Amino acid sequence: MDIDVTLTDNSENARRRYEEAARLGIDAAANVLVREVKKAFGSDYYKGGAFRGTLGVRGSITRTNAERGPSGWSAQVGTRFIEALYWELGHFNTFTRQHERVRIWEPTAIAQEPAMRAAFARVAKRVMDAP
Amino acid sequence: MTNPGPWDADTLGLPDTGSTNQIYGTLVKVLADYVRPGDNARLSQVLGSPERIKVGALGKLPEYPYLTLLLDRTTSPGSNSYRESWRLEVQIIGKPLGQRTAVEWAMDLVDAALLGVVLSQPGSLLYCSLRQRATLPQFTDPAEIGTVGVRATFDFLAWPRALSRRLTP
Repeated sequence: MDIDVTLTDNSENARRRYEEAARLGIDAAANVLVREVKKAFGSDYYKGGAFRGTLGVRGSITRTNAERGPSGWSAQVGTRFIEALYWELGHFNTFTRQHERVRIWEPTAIAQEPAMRAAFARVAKRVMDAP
Repeated sequence: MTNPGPWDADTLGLPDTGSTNQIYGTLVKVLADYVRPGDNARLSQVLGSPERIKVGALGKLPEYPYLTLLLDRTTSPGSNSYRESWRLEVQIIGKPLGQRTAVEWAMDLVDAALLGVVLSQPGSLLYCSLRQRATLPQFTDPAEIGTVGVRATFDFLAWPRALSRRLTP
């Protein structure tokens, strides 16, 4: 008795779907960070002095589209205001004549890492599970 | 956070990870005591006094160059609260611009000291698993102009005695 067997190679489809899942997952994770950093630049941040308020950092926080690099997909979250870097890293302020530092970006990223991972996993699973 | 004072090894019983102050003191001691094999280079050649190693925020203008340490500690999930992920930030800031080479040279020593550190004692283990380093861009107004800096973050995996001491005497 002969049995006809047909083999279909779906590996290319699986690879494409995986790439799409990773890209959208990174998008979702970056969105979490954008949202939470904006939240961290809340009203308290501006109580430290009028100068900080003039930066307008909160409205400028944005992210890049996910990009495929040699080590996988990534996106960058940031602001165009270089002054935000001074405040994040600390600096001697010429107006207050003392060291000023308000850490927001890195602590938020550390604290939100589980949420970012969960967002990535949720979106990636949805893409991979799609019929 | 303000600097609570000198990180005296004898007073704190260093090296140890039984408390946050001991952890900071241990890291300061690692940096201050490190001697690079071959050329016997030490951080004090650039920083002068160990007092130039600061923990946390600075107040008024310090003497340049100076080094700051700042530690973020996060308990690792699924480790029964014994293991932590540490991110240690090291900044070395100099002024004027001519101190650029000195701060980079000093950070090379910090690299060598921290990347090689493995502290293992009963109830405690820590080692560095990842390092990122970047030369800081030139700061402009409102920051003080003419400073040069380099920043590195060191990710540690740590089982500090501060957490395990509830079991280990």
